[in-house]
Amino acid sequence: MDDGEQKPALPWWGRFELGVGERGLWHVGPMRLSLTRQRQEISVGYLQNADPRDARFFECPTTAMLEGSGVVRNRYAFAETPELVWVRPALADRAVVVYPEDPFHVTAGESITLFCSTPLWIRVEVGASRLALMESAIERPPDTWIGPSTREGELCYATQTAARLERASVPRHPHRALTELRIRNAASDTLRLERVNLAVPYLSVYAARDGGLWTESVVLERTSSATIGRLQIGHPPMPSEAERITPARLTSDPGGILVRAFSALFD
Amino acid sequence: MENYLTTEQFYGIVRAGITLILGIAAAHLLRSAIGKVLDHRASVQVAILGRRVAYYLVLALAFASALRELGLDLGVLLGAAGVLTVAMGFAAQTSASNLISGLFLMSEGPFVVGEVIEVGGTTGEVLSIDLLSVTLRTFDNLYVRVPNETMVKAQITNLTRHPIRRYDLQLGVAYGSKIGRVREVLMEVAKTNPLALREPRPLIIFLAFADSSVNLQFSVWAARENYLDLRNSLAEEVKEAFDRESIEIPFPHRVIVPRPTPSGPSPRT
Repeated sequence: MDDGEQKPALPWWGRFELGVGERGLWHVGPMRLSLTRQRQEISVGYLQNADPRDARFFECPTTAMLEGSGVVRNRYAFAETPELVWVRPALADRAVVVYPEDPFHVTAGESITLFCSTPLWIRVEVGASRLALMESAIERPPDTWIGPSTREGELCYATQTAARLERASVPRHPHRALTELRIRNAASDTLRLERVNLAVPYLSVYAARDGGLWTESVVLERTSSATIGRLQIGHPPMPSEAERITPARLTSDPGGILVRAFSALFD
Repeated sequence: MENYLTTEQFYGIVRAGITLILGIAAAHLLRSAIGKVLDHRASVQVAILGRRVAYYLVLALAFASALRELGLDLGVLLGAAGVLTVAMGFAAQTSASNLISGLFLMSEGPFVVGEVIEVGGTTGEVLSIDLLSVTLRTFDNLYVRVPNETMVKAQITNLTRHPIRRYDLQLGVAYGSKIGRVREVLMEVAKTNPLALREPRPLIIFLAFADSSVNLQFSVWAARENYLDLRNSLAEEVKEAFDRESIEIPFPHRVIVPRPTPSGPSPRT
């Protein structure tokens, strides 16, 4: 595959039109995605763990091919394939546990705001009815478990974060969404923050004007020494500038949801 | 004929017939009602058992009532049934034991249909828990029937009861290897394998200074459904990482040390 020149940093998501016999190619972080439309089939190929450089590039239509070992191909049959193709980001299909590189301590009564990123999935839809064809993690995060024991808990994804405190210092990646996370420790003891369960299925994906991908802000409140916290979905990021491009997978109650926010094993 | 139709006997037959028909209908209705209640509140096995017990109980009562309408003395029948029961009891001891064991299994619930268990050296998926036996499907697609009595007496390992499971990889490294570096390499392998849970954290446990190697156990957790994939991928990745880092997994070997004899020249080495 010819990587060629650095392409302009346009949003890789959105609505595309593919004619019969045409192909679209996307580079999003470590993923390469190829869509080829024929009269009665659409072929989707993707490769994970590719070189993350030259990311956020797409070309539609293109003559370039997606080749190499490890390419996963699927073919979808139609009586007549639609011209419209939608490629958009989605958040993980399970909760994501965010591990700060260095543990934070939040003393009793204090609250902190930090910025962390979570991995994105890529979703392909076709036609005016936006029929979902495929969905895949751009970069498959590792699994982890959060719960009081190995018998009781929740299977999540794991991701590491620098947990920056200032928005301006947060690096942007095309394959990750940023979340402003406010943690309130209303308990009587200090919270040692080694992990936070970010219930991302309850969050939506927003696109900011600068091309960055964000979720709604999240408030996690710890009211006792228990490891359960109440998660409340806050406001969308920069409400006057962000456009929601993918809704949440799950709906939360207005009063928030209880999550195993900080649980470690054998607490 | 007309005289017969007005006799008490004929009326008895009619009443017996009506009793039996109503009893069968009632048995069907009760079976259906019990089934609807138990389907949502109990396991599949308990629901099946409840339906059967209700049906046959009502049917037995209807049958007894019909016999009474016909003028038959139930006492004689019960006496004969008692003798028959004793005789059958001796002949059906094993079946009775299996039946009772089945009830205990259902109430205790060490496994349910669909789970994978290991019992008496056989590992398989539970297909059904019946009155007398449990049926398993082994992974090479064999059908195994295990009497309930055996299940109650044996140790049963349920491999899929909990959502996560730990895989223990036992390996040996050469005595010349730096154990600290081995630990780093193993932890890096676990970190890069997406199926390996970040928490509970992977463990490296020292096992022994063995004859030819230093034996370690590398324990990694995975989601239950990913256990087999992790087991295969982890071993391969450990081998590749060891090859890259020149960490030897030694073959069994012996070092021969020649010793001089008490008198005479030293043997050549």
